[in-house]
Amino acid sequence: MAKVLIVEDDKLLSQAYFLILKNEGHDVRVAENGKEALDLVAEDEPQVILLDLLMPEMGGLEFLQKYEQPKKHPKTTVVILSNLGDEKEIQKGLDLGAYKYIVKAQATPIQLSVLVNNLINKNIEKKQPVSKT
Amino acid sequence: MKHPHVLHRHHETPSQLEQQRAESDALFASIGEGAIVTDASGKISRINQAALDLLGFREKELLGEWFPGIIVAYNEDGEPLEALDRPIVRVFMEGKPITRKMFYTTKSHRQFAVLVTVSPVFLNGHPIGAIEVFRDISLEQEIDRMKSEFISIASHQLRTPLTAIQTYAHLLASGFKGALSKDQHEFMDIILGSVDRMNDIITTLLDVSRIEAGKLSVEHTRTNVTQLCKTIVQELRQGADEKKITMVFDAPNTPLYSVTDSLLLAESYANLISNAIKYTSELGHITISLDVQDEGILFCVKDTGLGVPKALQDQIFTKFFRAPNVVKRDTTGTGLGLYMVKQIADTLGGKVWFTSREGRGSSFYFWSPKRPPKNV
Repeated sequence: MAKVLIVEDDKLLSQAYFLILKNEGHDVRVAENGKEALDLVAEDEPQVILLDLLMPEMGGLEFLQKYEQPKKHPKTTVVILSNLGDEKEIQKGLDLGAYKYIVKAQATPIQLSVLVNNLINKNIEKKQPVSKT
Repeated sequence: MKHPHVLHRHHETPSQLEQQRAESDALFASIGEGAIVTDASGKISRINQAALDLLGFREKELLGEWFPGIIVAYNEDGEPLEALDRPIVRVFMEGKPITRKMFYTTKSHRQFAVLVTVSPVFLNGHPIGAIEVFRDISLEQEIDRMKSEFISIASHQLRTPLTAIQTYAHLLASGFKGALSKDQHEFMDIILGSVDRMNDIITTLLDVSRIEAGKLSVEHTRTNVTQLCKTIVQELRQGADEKKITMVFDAPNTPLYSVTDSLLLAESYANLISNAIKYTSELGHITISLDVQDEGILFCVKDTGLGVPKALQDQIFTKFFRAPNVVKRDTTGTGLGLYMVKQIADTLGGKVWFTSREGRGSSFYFWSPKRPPKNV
């Protein structure tokens, strides 16, 4: 079991991710935007953050800037949940410390839970450059 | 003199000649679009009111002036057009009408978009000048830009609910809410297959609107083109296998490298190969090859498919164009794939072309330079 934070403004999607990860036995919390996410991480440090980019109030990139991962939170792994066509934003997110990104429309729930499990079970010893796929 | 009335028509009296001249002047002046006539050396000999209004000149300021000299033109990238590239000059070399979009500059140095058609004027088989008709297309261009923006916004908005449909359908399909029967699985596969197709359409629409808005980012990296092509062939092989099509990649012996945008190149190759698969019947053949040619890499995909009807061959790279022989078979395409490939070829400083015989098959070629040209 691990602590996972979902940051996603689309309630239907965050609910689906919540169900999938909860089913895997994780302790899952949901924030609707970057601001809520900052409040939640201050209370309790998650191991994995699934982060949407385009959100009202505070988007994913601003969250990453304020969160200052990996400098301040080396044990947390951030995965960007992106949409097709966001290449430039994604690159900025990776530059700000996100470990990798997944394209929402291309990832099945199973792939998502496998990814989270892998991130938790395996030690991410070295951050590898992530290819654009 | 059996037909004096016929002869009479060639011997008009001076007053009749004047009348005819006045009529032809009135006709010319009334043309609703800008019209300029030049002599064989490109000097302006006639100009109508619409042209004067659009360009902001007075008639006496333009008559007798060398057209490319006095009316400055720019191409769609905002670079000044050399006299040799101006339709009014080219038309004498090509001897046939030329139509193109460009920008004209008014007397007060304001630029505006125009669509120009220039035709050579012949008398007794000799060119004696040219006539140019042009109109202001700023409004059309603005509407086109708004349309691209609309497509982009609409696609973004469609994607969000589509992702929810897809995610929940996957949840059901994976037995998250209980095991499905065989029939239910089949239906879920149909739903997910359709969602995939819709995602592809949205991606293409977004790509098109980005390329039209000039937002397509190009990143040149050293790319192993042989490997890139091999990967695409592997990814698309399943589609060919399902139709029992023999698909062969005739890979060069040594890897070919190129400094290019690997994503855009991959998109073009994938597009051309999947078209070949889509439009080739069962048991057909597809051959893919890569060669070095003219400081670049020539990709070729040859199929035994439907082919492109001869009469429609010059329209195939046009946006939303789909040939009737293709629509009959498959109603799902967007008509944007080859348009995208053409746009990418232009962006990379390359070329795309094809040869085809209807019912026999097609060969599509995509040539891209080994190093990016300076202005790309």
